Amino acid sequence: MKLKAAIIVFLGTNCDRDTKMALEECGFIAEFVFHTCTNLEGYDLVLLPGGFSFGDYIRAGRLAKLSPVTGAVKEYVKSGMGFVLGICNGFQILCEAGLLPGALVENANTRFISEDEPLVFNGRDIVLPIAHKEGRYWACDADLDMIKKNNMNIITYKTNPNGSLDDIAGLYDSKHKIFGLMPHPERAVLKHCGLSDGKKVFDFIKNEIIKIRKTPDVISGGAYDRL
Amino acid sequence: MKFRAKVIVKLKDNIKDAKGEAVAAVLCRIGLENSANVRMGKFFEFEITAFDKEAADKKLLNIINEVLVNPVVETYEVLDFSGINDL
Amino acid sequence: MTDYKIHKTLNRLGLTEFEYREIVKKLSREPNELELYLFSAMWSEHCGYKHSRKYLDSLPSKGACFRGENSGGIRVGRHIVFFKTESHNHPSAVEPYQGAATGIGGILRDILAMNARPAVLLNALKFGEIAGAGDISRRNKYLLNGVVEGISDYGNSTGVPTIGGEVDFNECYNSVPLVNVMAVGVCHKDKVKTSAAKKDAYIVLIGSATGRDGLFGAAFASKELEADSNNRISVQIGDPYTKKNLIEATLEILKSKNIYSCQDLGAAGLLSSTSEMAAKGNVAIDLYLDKVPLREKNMLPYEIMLSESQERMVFCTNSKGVNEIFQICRKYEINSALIGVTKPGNTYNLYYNDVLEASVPVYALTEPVLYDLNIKKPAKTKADSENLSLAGVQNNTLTPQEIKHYIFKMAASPRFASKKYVYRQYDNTVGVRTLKNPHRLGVSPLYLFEEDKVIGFSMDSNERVCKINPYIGAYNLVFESAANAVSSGFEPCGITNCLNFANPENPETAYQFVQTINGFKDALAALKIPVVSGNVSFYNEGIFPTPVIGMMSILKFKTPIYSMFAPGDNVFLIGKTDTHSDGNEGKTLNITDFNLETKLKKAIFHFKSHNIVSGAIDVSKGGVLGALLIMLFNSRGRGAFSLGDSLNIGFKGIFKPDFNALFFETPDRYLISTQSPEDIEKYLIKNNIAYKNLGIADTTGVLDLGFAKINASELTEIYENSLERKALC
Repeated sequence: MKLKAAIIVFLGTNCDRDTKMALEECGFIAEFVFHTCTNLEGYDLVLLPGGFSFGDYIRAGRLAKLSPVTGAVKEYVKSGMGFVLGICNGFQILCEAGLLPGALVENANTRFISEDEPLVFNGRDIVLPIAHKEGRYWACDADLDMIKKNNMNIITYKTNPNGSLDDIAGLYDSKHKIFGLMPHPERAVLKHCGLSDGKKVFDFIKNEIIKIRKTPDVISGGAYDRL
Repeated sequence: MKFRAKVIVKLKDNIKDAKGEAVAAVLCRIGLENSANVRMGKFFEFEITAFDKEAADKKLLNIINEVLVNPVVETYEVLDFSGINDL
Repeated sequence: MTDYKIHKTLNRLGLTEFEYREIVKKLSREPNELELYLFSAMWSEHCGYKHSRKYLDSLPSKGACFRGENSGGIRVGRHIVFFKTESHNHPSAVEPYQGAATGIGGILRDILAMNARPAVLLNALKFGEIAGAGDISRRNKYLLNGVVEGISDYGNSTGVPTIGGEVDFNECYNSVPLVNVMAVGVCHKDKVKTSAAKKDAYIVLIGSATGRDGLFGAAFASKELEADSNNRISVQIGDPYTKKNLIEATLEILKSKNIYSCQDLGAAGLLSSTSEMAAKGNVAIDLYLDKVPLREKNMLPYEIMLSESQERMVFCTNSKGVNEIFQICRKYEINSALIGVTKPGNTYNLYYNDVLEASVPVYALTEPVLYDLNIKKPAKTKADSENLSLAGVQNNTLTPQEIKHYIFKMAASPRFASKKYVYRQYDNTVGVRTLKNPHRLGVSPLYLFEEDKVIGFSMDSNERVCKINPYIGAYNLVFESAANAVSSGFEPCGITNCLNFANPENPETAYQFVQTINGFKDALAALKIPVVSGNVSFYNEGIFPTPVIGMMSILKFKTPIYSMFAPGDNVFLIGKTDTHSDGNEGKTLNITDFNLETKLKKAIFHFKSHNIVSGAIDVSKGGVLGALLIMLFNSRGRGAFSLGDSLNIGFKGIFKPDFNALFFETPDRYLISTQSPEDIEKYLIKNNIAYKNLGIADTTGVLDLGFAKINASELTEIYENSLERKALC
């Protein structure tokens, strides 16, 4: 059976169509869900794609956390319905909404960086495109300790392009099945793009979702303390 | 009653302010100031309608915390918050 | 109005007394003040092309689709690929960040108006010198950084990737930089929307509220830029977030069968968009200006009509469509308002609070007086021919050591050095149409999902040649662009142009303009490709004549040919191999040899189809050695090869330390790299194509020229980072 993904479309989201093509290539059924939606039941994966939600005005991801759908995402996490993935702006939104620790601030060089970036993902070397201006990860000491203790820093830069703390390019809260990352796996799936490592990321997520489906109890117990 | 708020939001002092540092470097290079210690922030100016000052204060805090500031990395300062004549 | 007042008003509005008399003739009466404002905008060079239209119409159009609409295009299978350039030189000179951003905004709307989702952006940016620490270079750096940041922030946010173009430097742009932007969009041939209105329909305006920004922008771009800080009031402010919503809303609106036509609001805003709609559809329009959503208080009718506020579109629709538009705009949180109706006839009526404020025949507005240019050939000066190639024509007695020193200097020079500092700030992969390594190709490639084909785009210019001989400059420019395509395995299929010149009322400028058109005409006829769209920017005082062309091409093979070589590759110079060993010869301009180019294209395509070419590049900036260096740099660095970025590519060849042979720029030459030198040689001999085997690529990390050895990593580092170092210091 194919897994079903909801791609959340905020005003200003611009990687929604790219993400749909990539997910379908990786064997998902993918649907667009507008940001006014309040119920995410029935999806195996909720994906917050890249872009500039609400212009990234005030700060990246800040205004998206006030959309109705963000409440639904919290509910989705709390009740253990499935897996949440945030890519680029989606990662920024997850941090702004308190679903992942820390925050993303402006790149150390103050400029937008668009490049194919070598990374370490789950112990393997991969290359994914990055494209962001506010991608420098920052967390307080306590959060950083927690991140390390729980092995949340699942994806890291090999040659830190933006000044991120501890080379962190993304975080995986395996307990609550929330994964956020700045690089763009959806841009490294389709054959003509010339990069294919995005598939490894989506395949990893697929396996994680299948694991949840087999043992639903893993996450259903206990309220999620960040919410 | 109507109130007008002036709020600045900036990165916390312990977080590298990349833009501020870039400005400081320019000031240094052109010889205007060698240790300017620049911090850059955002300025918001907006109006609030409320029954009284107390309600307005509450609304202001809500706006700041819910919308304007990410407390993980930012702090804020209310520069001015006073009643205005509604003409 | 009194004669004196009319004279003063005309002067301020940039209309001549002759034009005023023509207006009176067309109206059979004196215009009122508002009507005079309308004419001044519509008859400006920017909207009316009054000095250029006669000449532009002579450019070949066979093969172009929808030329004369908001954007023209080329058909590929069942789809039309629209592409168009626009200049935003004057706004960028005043306020580089907003000037460039709104330039992108404007060109995106032209594509959008055809019902084509914008697919990619390119831009040609030309600045004055940035070397040194003087006020002029400091200002140029400010302009460079501002323009690039403006494009980066705006383009990236709208989700349209910026995949290529050119960045170049020349002292002649110290007065005004050139910011020429190009957008590409794709639409199914049966879904294209044109701009002609229908009668008995409604006019709906959507997008941002109208403010006073950009007032007189059309007239502003049609006058020489004065050193006046008040120019700033004319600058429009871009809002990429609203633009993104406008794009989505427009595409959703245009899905409805109830919508008749669509126009974007650019130069002379509401006025030019609605009057052109009426003229194309041969209908009358009544507009109710008090219905236009305004951002500022107390705006006068002429301000509402002429405002160039960004992020607005206008539709002609039936009554059902009006409600559909309102609903879609609510979803995307943008304004929408019913502002007028169409009727039979051809008058253009403006009402404000039920008072008829202006009433003129539509065609009087949209058909301005057209001028023949007064032409005079400029006198030749010796200095004109000095600065031709990147290297300049130099005394040819340099020692090997001096040439080696020069190679480092060239690698670091802003004109030659990698433009990575710039393009790293542009999101080039959003939209997932971009092929890997777009910067290592002669053209910027994009995948057309709709047809399972790859098409390529490039933007080129060569003002140095155009200054000396605009005919040869324009002729060669078309072939230079074609050579970029050919070297990458693409077949040219059409161009758009952006013609940047000084004041056309100056006979010498007029000569340059007309000769440029002639050069284009002949080159395009030879290649059998059309001009699909274009833009003219006059009044760029002080600049060399700078026609910029954007070329579309289509990949003829499964994969493109990258400008790279792999270890073990032999590198050949093919085409004109024997030129310019004599320094004096450098002073004559070579016109492209069409027959030779045709032979070379056939050869390269033959090699590619037989899979015996691994890389290719046309020889341009920096001559033969320049081309070799670019191949070397492209073959090094991150992402060059899927295996091992650690390949330390070098090259070994035997060159004479002959400055001109190494660096002189002349057309009709390519470098190709191959693992099958015997096959290549056999073909070249059989087809009587001159060639030289320059040497072999290796993994020594050394560039060995025979007369000098250079550490390739050291040189690559300089090439890749010197522009950033110069721009930020």
